[in-house]
Amino acid sequence: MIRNRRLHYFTFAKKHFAVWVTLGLCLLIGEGILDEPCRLAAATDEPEEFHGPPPHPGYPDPFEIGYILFDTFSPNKQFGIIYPNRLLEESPDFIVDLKHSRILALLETGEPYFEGKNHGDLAAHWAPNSSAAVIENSGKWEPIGLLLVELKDGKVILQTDLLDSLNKIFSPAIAKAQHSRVADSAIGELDITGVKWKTGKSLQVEIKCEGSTNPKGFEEESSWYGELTAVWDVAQRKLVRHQLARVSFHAAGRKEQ
Amino acid sequence: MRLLLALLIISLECLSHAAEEKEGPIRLATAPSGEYAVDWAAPDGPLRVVSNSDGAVIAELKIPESEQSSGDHSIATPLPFISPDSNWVFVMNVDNDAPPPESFSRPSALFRRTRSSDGTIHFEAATPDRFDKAAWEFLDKELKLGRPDLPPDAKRVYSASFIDWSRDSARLLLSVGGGAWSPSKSE
Repeated sequence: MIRNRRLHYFTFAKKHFAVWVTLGLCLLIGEGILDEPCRLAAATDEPEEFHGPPPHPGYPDPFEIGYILFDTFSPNKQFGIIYPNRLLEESPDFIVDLKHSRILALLETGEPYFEGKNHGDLAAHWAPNSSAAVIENSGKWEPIGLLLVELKDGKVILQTDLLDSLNKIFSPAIAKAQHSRVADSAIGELDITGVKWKTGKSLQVEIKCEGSTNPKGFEEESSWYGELTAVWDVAQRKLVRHQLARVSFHAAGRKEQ
Repeated sequence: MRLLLALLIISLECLSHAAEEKEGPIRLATAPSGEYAVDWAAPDGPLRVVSNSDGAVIAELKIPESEQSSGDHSIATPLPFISPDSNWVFVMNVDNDAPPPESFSRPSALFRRTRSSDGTIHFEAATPDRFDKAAWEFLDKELKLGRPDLPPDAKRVYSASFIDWSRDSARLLLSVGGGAWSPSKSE
């Protein structure tokens, strides 16, 4: 059974109902005095636990001892992500159905995130209708994966790594500035600065990011920097708009252009 | 207003006290026969065999302490693997966060289920020492492994990682390792 650590409070809440009633009254009267407990109280509707398939008979249950439920759920609170703790750090991350306690899919990322991973982080940006999510598996200089996960009828139907598409925009721009081949031109650092879903005629996600070629700032290397805004259309399965802004280039040993 | 604040402080005190209470033991594994389960109270044990029918404690499973154990780090979750016939329990500890040389070590123990004349169930260790150390020393002796010259401050480390039980519970497949760790060489 996997419980979200933040939601442990609510397991206690069941056992200490009287305490919570008293606290709730205080908070109602003194509304605005304390902000943090109000947020805790508001989270009681969130799913509390997940349990995967039964373990091999006689063997430990990885979902009991080795996995943690990530604290960002789909807006309808049906879907979430679980990642391993240090005990199972080589193990994959999964997309799960919290409502039916089912594993839906393995997160298709090269180096799965695990608890306390060095330079690692996880972020999930769910579409308002819970039909898709952009999941960022961060690395030291750039994301290890920026996965668009699409769901339909409670199943994962497609996972697309958006990093390839973003790199295809950065590389020609860098090649042009550096007078190098596109294949030899790649960003060295990529920061995802914003993920925003747009609902309208079709479901789209706007990704804002900053790319650069010389993250350590070596003087003997050229430095390219640019801010990219790209819009992915879920139905068309491609980037439909993109714009590079604030582009700067500093050739090795030369002043900024 | 004073009454409100006093009430609030008391409530928060009660809440923090409640949050400090320990959670119940974690059920790590259940015997294939369904007779017993292995429970562990986080964060530092003990590891207990409990009856599945009435929850009574049958035995405590203790992995012998490492010679180098400093005891000042968090103890990792022990992993029990129960044989298909439910007569054997292999327990291993994986503590990646421990300081060296313990981080290179993987302490383990093998327990055998026995039944006394009055029908009481017991679990006894199959080896008097740590199983990983005994396994390595057995391999060392059988395979006549060479022992390189070690620095005087070197400490031997052993590990035994579970792979699988055979279907008839007669064989336990393990990955056994041994080595040495020297503080002076590691700097």
